[in-house]
Amino acid sequence: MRTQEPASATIRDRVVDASRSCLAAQGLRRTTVDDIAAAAGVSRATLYRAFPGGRETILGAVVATEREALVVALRAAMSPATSLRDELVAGILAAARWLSDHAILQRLMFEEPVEVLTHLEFESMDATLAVAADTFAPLLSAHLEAPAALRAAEWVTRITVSYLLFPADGVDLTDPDEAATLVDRHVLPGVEALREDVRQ
Amino acid sequence: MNQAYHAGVRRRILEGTNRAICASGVRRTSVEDVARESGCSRATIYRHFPGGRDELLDELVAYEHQRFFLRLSQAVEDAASLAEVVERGLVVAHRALAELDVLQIVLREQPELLEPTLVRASRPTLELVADFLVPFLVAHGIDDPALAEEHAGFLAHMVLSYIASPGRWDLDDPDQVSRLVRCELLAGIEAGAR
Repeated sequence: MRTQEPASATIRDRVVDASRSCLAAQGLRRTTVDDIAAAAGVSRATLYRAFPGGRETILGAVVATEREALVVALRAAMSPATSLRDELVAGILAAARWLSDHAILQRLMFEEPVEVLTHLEFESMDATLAVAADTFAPLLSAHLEAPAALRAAEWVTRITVSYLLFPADGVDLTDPDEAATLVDRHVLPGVEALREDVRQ
Repeated sequence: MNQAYHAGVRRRILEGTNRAICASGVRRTSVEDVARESGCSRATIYRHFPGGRDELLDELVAYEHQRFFLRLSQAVEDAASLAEVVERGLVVAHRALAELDVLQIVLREQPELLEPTLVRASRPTLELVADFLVPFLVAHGIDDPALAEEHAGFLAHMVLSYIASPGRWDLDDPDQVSRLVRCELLAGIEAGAR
C-alpha cells in the first residue's frame, strides 16, 4: 500500500500547491512542468495523468483554486452586510485587499508585468470578466435580481481591477472609507441605473 | 537636416515597419524588409534608429500608441455634451483598435513588445484622458474642482478599460454604447451634478 501513489484528488492538490511555490520562487516564465513535478514529489507520468494538458492545464488549475479562495474570502466579508450598499463596499474592499496581499500576483506584476497585463487587457480580460461575473453575481443575489447582478458583478470587477492596476489619489480600494466613497459616488447610482435598464 | 524632414523620414520608416509586420509577422520582419517597404536605404534606417530592428519595434509601438490617442482626441474635440464625448470616444477608439492589425499581430506573436508602453505609458495615458475630460465635467455643472478631477479619473479608468476589453458589450452598436455610458459611466456623475 505504501508504494502506491496518493489518490488523484491529493495529487491535484499537491501539484497545485507545488505550482504555487514554484511561481512564488521563480516566476511564471521560468516555471516548467519538471520544476512542478519535482516540487510536488511526483513523476512526470503521474503529473500528466492528472493534468493531460500539461503546463497550461496546471496553471489553469492554480488560477481556479485561487479564484475559489477569493470567493470564500468575499463570501465571508459580504455575508454580514444587510444592504446592497454595505455588500458592495465589503466586497470591493475584500477583493482589493485579497488581490494586493497576494504575494505571487504582486511578484508577477512586478517582475513579469506583461504576462499579467496582457491577461488583464484585451481579449483575455473579456474571458476573465465573463468568469468573474458568473462567479461573483451569486454573491449579490440577496439584494439584486439575477440579470442585474450579473451585469453589476462584471462592472464592479472591472472597476476594482482598473483601480488596482492604476491607483488614483483618493481611490485606494483597500481603505474602507475610500472604497465606501467610490461605492456611494459611482457604484450605487450605476447599479440603480442598470437595474432600471435591465428591466426595460 | 531640418527637424520636420527628420520627423517625416522617421514616420515613413515606422509606417514601413507597420506594413512589413502586417505582411509577414513580427518575427520574420527584418531591417531589409523595412527598407524595402519604406523606400529607404538600410543606412538611412540605422541613422534614424541606431538600435536597428529592436528599436524599430519599440518605436513603432510608441508611435501607434500616440497616433491612436491623437485620433481619439480629434474625434471628440467638438462633442457638444459629456455623454457625447464619452460615447463617441468609446466607438472611435474601439474601431481604431480593431483596425490596428499590427496590434493583433504583436499580441499574438510577441506581446512582450507591448511591455514598455503598457507599463510606462499607461499612467500618463490615464492622466491625459482625465485632463481632457475635466472641462467637459465643469461644463456639465460639476463646480467643485476636486470632485471634477475625481469624476474625470473615474471616467478615464472606465473608458480605457472598455476600450481594451469591451467584455459583453458590442461597441459597434450605438444603442448598447448609450446604455453602457448612461449606467456604468455617467450615472454617478449625473447624481452628483443634480
